[in-house]
Amino acid sequence: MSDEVADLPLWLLSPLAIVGAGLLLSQVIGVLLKARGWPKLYGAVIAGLILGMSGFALIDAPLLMQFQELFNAAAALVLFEVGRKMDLSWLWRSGREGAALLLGCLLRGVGTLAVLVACGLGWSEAAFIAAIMIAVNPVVFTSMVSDSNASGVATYAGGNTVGISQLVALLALSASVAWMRSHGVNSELGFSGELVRQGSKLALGAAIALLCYGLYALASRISRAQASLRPGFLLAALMMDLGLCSVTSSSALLSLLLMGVLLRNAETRENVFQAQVKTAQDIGYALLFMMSAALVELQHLLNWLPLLAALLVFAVRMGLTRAALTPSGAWSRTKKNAIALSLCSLVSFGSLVVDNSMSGTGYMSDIAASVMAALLAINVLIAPGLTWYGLKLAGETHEGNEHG
Amino acid sequence: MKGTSMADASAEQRRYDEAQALAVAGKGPAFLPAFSASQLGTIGIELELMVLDRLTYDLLPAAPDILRLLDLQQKNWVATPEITTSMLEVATSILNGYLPAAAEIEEIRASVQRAAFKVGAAISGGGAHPFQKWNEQRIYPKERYRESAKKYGYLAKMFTVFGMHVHIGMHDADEAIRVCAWLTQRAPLFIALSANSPCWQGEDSGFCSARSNVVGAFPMSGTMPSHIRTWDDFAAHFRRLAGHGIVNSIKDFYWDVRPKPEYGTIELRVLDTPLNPGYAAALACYARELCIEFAASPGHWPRDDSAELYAWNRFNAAKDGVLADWIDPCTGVARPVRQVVLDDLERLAARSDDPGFGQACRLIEALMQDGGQARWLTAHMAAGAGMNDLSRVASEMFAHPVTEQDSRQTAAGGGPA
Repeated sequence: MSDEVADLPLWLLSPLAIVGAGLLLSQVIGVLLKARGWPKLYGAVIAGLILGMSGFALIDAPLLMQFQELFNAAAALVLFEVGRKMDLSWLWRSGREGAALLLGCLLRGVGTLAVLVACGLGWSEAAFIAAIMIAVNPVVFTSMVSDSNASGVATYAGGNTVGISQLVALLALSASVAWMRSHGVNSELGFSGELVRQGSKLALGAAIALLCYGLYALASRISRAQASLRPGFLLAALMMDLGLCSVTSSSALLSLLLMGVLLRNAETRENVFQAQVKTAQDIGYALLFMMSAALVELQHLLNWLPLLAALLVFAVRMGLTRAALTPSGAWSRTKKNAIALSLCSLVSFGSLVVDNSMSGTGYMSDIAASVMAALLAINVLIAPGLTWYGLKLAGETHEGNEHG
Repeated sequence: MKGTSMADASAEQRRYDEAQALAVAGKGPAFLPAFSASQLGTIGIELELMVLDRLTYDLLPAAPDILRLLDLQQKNWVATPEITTSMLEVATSILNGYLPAAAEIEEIRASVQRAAFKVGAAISGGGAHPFQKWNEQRIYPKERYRESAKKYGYLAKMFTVFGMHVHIGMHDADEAIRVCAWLTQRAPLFIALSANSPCWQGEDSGFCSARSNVVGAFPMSGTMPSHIRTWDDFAAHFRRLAGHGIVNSIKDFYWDVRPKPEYGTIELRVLDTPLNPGYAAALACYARELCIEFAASPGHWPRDDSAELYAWNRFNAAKDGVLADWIDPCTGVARPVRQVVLDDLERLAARSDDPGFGQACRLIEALMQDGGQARWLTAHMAAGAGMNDLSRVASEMFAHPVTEQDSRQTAAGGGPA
């Protein structure tokens, strides 16, 4: 979208029209895929490939910037849902089960670090990527759960893991970014100073969550709002949270996640109501379409060395997630395999740190950046399918409505 | 010689069991086992429980996962699947009075609660889930249930309701039929006492037991026809219906009270599963004492066993629970359910040889406080709780054992918090 702009039809000059067309194409392809027994969400992936960087290049990073606030809000809603899926009481009191999910997060980081160092990356950038690889992609998981109408114990465990993984990844990433910034060419502060700076972004995000949740709780108490009226209060609180995080450059991810966690765990008696984001599936389409359009460049997959390293990281993450589940007796072997498969997706730096002032590639060498690009491409192409298969393997999808 | 006859008996029993299993599954010819007499007054309790999501308190299809964990446990009782994967059925061993029943029920409650928590689910009593949608339920992956789903269509999923069944041992087949007729007359009292399903498909039904209305959609629901006076009458009735292809086994009779020949029991099937299983043992012992009393008056039959009178009593009990009136079929006089039950308990306690029956009576009295279980739930709705909250409250009532102290608090405070 550069010099030839003047030759393009008028509608192609509207980013909104392009994104809208992309979503329509996603739906059409999705429905066709579903009729053949494939996951409908792949419509978004394929449409993104056709219209994005790997195809006609109608959607690129500069275009997406125009929608940044919108996408941040959409991603925040998904994260809020992830937070609501975190059952702190169960994670703590279940003992072995909660520990297995946490161990999986830690092992994913350690395993990625080991593979990348073995592949020749430096410790610091390997640690940086490893911190990101701890997290499971909330968009892929929640969208696929919603698309397949999945529910059951594996889905429940997966939902909890997505939340824990975001928290652990954020903490690890803060330390990693602090290290890289303090050792960079333009470093202003030492490691501890940078650590405090990164930590303060998290702390501020958490404080904003507490403030907004407090206001929500106060408003619903003062008005004695019945359960059916409370979702309206909640939406207002979420908007305030997102806005405050945006102007203070604090961690919106942590803040929205905590809002969900607080709503779920702080006052069960008051807050058990159907505040499900019913549009999670549609948000998933939009976000997956954008991920596919902007993050996947198929030429990244033609460079075999980074591709091999990325495939190895992808496989090791899944294997270690599965290994961490072994001590638990709560799930059958099939369910454990299913949980590991459904948690295979990964996130980008940008989706973990909603802060436009920072770019993940700025911390990485060319080889590390190409490994990361290959990982993101593999993630968009393969992870939705494996997540779908994992949920299906668990026997927790409900795509049909037959009586038998 | 003895070894040979034992082997023969064992082979015969196996053939018998196979014929019964094939008939139940609809795969073999119709089969009605002979009534195998058992000790009068032995009891067995079956409870159908809800498996819930710990976030939304909607039904969660996690029964197979919970059953897998329960199967690993050494126990006298059994846990089995039900028609949809959000339902769990538990059944006690053969018991002989309130104290052993209460102890085993408490063991079941704690075990199921523990197993469910381990996989991330919650458990609840109650006759119907307040806001589940029938079309979202999943048939348990088992041949028998798939066959039911084919046979009954959407009714199979509509049957996602949760009942309590009580088996009472009978020493004689003909007596089982007679006591069955007597217990049928009093079945509405048990509907009233157990009623705790005020909401159905997301709406306040206006009934205390919405569950009771669901069973009526099945063609073989209702009561044992009044012309059946002996076991031979019943067998002839079975043969006639089997000849038409209407029934294939005793399980095809969805009667409110039915004989269960292979166990040597009669089965009371009208109760909503209590919000706390602790009440189940008390209710079962009330039914047990009534049956023992009926059995002590051989040759006596209910004076008015018309279907219309029964249907009216049943309707009122489901509608108004313990605040309903019950028309006594013997006198034709309408009296408040609460008073009828209290009179029954006083009379039965005087003749009972069950050392724990006094405790059972006190729990039943507590069940009738503040309008009964259904009104304990609707009181929360009146205070602003939504359907999800209602489901959560019911789940929390399941989470702790019922004690006599709880009963007194219930009586004082308007139902368990």
